[in-house]
Amino acid sequence: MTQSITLYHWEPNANSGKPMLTLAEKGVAYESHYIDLLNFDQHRPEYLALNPAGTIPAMRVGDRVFTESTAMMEYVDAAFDGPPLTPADPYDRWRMRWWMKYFDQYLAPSFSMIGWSVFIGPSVRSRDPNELKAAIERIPMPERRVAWSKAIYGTFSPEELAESQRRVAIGTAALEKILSERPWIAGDTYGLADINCFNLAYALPLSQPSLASDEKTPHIMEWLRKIYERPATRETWAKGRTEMAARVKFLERGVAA
Amino acid sequence: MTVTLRHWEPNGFSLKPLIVLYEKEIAFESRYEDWTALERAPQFADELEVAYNLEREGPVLIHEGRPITDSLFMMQFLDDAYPGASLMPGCAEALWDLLTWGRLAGEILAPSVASLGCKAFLSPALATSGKRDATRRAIEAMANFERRNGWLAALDDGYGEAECADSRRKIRLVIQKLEERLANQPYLLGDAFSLADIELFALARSIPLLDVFEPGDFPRVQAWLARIEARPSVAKALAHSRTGAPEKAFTPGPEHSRWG
Repeated sequence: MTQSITLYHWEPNANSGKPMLTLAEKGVAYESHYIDLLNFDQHRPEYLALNPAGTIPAMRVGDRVFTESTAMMEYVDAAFDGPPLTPADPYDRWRMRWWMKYFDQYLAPSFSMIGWSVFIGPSVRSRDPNELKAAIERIPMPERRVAWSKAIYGTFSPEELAESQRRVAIGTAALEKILSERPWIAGDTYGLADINCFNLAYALPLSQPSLASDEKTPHIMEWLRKIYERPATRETWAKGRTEMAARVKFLERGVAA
Repeated sequence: MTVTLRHWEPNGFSLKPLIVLYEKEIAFESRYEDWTALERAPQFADELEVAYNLEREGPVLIHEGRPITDSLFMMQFLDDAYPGASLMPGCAEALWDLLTWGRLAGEILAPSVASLGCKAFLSPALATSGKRDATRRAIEAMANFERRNGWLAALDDGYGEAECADSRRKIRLVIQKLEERLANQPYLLGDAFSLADIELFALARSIPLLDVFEPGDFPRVQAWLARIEARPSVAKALAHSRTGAPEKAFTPGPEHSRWG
């Protein structure tokens, strides 16, 4: 395929990191367009013209725009040459999709709530209150407006944070169980489900040391380190501009978490 | 290959794989379970993909002794693993489109249809069943916290006005997108009927009963629903109903998003 590819993304982390790492694994070159989430670039008119929902990432291929990071990963794997990241066996393919939905709908929202309350909110809270208010009002989706507002003003309730923490514990235990049964999430080969979950969970041993560690979750730790050792992972995380992405170095073998 | 489908009334999640099985003419064994009687087979209850299935109540396909859950991915599996006419265009764009529609269906439409449908049909039925105490005991014995919460809401009609209003808003949002998509083409992915049509049809079929829009609204969506309803596969799938009104069959659906 010779069409030009532009990826609009934030840090190699969560949803933005999913297509970044997928494209890198496939060996597909793309033009990178950094959208600064903490500067609300994703809600500015230039970006909304591309993706009216105001969510990151978005990818332009020729004159088509793709959004929704997990569907985008499947598109990239199906559309471009390079090593396949979807299992050939239909049962394993089903399992890949099942787990990606579990990560996206059950685990990721809980991780996000905790991450936004301890990192995103405090990172922007000290700015001019009027500027923040205007930034919230520009958000197109009502659900995102509520989430940003809670992060900025620190109003996640203790109950919803506790529920998110409960879910992260359940999800971590589920991940340790499946990785004790097979090397990769969908089966015998590395692929999209691993890329999805690595973006979600790479910092888990740092943020949740009571849940994930060499002692408590050895299979998760080995799986994280194997992914970190891949050239595509190194190349992708080197594109990070913040301390958040730099945390990934703790996965270097011999470095204590 | 032998395949068994554990399902309930042909509505929502149960309807999807039934239509695919008949479209592709795959021989299967139907195992009907009454989900409102909370009579689900304990088989595979320890498998994570069964125990943590986000549909809460959903069909289980048993393929070579292994359980397959989640009705969208089950449909993709059937289309991938079995011969017969493919229900997907072969291109990568169509796969992206299906998954994007599937996310709208699963995260926005399904919880909203379930909230309104349970309030209209399941909650009143549980209230008058004469077995409330036994039902409550069965619900409280459920291992899965989210599933238990969903059923307690149904038992106690826990659907407040804010949740119902938000559900109506979300349903209209998805139906509006369908109306726009159908402006220049008969089916969601183009000229051919596909898994995307089944995904949305199975959830949308009950919406006319839920008082969300007027009979004259969304004419293209209504014509599309009628076009799919006329397919022989749909008639065969609906013939699995034992209540005679599958469009009124609801169980607690997936959670509404906790996060935007």
